[in-house]
Amino acid sequence: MISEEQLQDWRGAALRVEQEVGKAIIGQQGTVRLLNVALFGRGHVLLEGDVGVGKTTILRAFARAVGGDFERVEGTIDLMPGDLVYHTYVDADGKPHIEPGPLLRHGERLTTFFFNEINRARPQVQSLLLRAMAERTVSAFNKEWRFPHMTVFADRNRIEKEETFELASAARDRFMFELRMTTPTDPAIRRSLVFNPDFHDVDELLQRVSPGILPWNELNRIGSAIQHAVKASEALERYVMDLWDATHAPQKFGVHVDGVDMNKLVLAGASPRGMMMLMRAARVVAWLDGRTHLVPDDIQAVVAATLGHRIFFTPVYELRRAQIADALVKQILDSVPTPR
Amino acid sequence: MVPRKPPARQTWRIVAIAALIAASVVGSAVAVAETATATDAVVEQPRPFGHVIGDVLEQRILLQNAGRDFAPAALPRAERLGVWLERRSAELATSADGHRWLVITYQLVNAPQGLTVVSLPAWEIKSKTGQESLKIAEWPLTVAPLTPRFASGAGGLADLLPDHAPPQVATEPIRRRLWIGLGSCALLLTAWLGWLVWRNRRAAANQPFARALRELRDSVDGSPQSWQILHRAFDATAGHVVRFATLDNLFEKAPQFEALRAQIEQFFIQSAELFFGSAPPQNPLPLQAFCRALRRLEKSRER
Repeated sequence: MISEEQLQDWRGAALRVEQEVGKAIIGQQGTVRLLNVALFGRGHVLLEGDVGVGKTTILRAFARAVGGDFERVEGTIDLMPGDLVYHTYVDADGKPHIEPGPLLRHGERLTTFFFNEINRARPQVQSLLLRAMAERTVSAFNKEWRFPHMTVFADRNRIEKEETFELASAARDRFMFELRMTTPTDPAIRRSLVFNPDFHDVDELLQRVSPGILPWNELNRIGSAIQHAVKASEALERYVMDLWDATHAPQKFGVHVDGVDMNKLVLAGASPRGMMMLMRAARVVAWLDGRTHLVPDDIQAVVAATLGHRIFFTPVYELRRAQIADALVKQILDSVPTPR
Repeated sequence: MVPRKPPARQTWRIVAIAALIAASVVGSAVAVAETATATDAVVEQPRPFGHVIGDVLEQRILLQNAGRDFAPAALPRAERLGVWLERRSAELATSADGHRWLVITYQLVNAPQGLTVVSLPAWEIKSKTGQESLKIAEWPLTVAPLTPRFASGAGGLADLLPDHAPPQVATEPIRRRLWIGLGSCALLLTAWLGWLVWRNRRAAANQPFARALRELRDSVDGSPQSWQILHRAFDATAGHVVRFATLDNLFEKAPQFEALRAQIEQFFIQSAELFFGSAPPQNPLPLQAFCRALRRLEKSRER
């Protein structure tokens, strides 16, 4: 049982992770906070953004601050599931060797698994990864390998579509968050990114981040403690259930998006897993804010990242997802009343 | 299309033209000797007889000199010409055959006591260049009185007849129609004003805090329901669900509530404690009084 004091100490450590990452990453406080929330909510994150906005850098900085073993795989079209599990080679004496691949190499010490450009990998590879994400286990060499402390950070280039394999809806549902990372808009930060040479050498930049701030092997325990410590009132439960209903039938709450027939928009609303993820993330937000109870602001802070990719549109509107999803989530938040 | 003229007038025009042509043939040698440029104009004169006071006489002068167009330097002014005549206007006109005419209108402004010969005056028009001129000869005509000099007094020929009585018009139907029209207008205006007042009152009654105030009367002050009623009023005012973090949007949309900013913020803090926190708020706001204050501010912005 974790005491309230321990939770407070962990909160301090969690905020320190953000501070440390903030030494290397500027203008992305929102993304850093949500990555931290996913870490303590024990969820995986899919990061999406334009080329060169710092997706890889932010994830590397995070992995360094969190500590534990770190593994990184580059998604390519010829990557096969076996490439994640084992590695074969012939040694100097001509003897063949089989060694564990990147996924198995660190065993239970694997804390951060970073899959770069996940949509370049074949669906077979994505399936393997999805099992590893959902169950934190993989079967290989006649036994089951466990990675209880693993958090998967994947990124996806949203501009290039050639030689890529779009993630299936079920796959996207495994990620707690789908974060969209954009170029900073603040002129001072933009100027600094371009003209300050400190930001040009990523390896040197990452040295600023203090490594291993968290006792990584206790993340599951603390994550569970947070979920039990932060309470939701009846009014908040009603609010969350209303939000869930609104993802299925937004028109019932008077939600309207310009140029969209609301009766024909939604094919399927958020899944139960999606709502669980929402609550897990919201509780972490409340904990990071120093509260032991949830308020609607906690929910609203994570709704877009959690539910945005979990509302499935009819085919006619699916092609316009990028424009519609954000507007729909905003309208739902503006229209679902609370307290009720 | 050639305009048709009255036969008498046409006859007199032919006579006038013939006379002028004859005069010009006879006097051409003399005219050439006197001035090489002064020519008799071709003139259509009015009928020379049968005129009375008030008649308008038209004299038309062809603006041509020896077959060439004649551009007058100036048109004669409208003015009184002696005892009998007044020149009313002088205008340029183009006939159907393309000739340009100067049309002078005279009016007989005096009545003679017996048949009298009056003459349109002789005059001359100068060209723009000043080198040429057209001469218009005097034109005598007879003018007669309208009445005998002395009235006989017999029968209806009295010195002065009384005024004709105006015709009797039935005013009752007009008055009735007028009253019906006025009554309808008044009725319409009253109905419109009534509708306007009713609409404004209904709109005022449906304002978020007016509605909330009515609903609060039916609920227990301080109950969760009463807090929710006020929340819905804030939501309706802002046009979206209002939270503490989005209060600025509310004040932007309804700046009249700025005056109660502190209490509104306190309301949202206390509401979060009540609905989402672990303990009910200390010293909760008196919601009915708070709502009345909000309604007053809301009303201040109603038209």
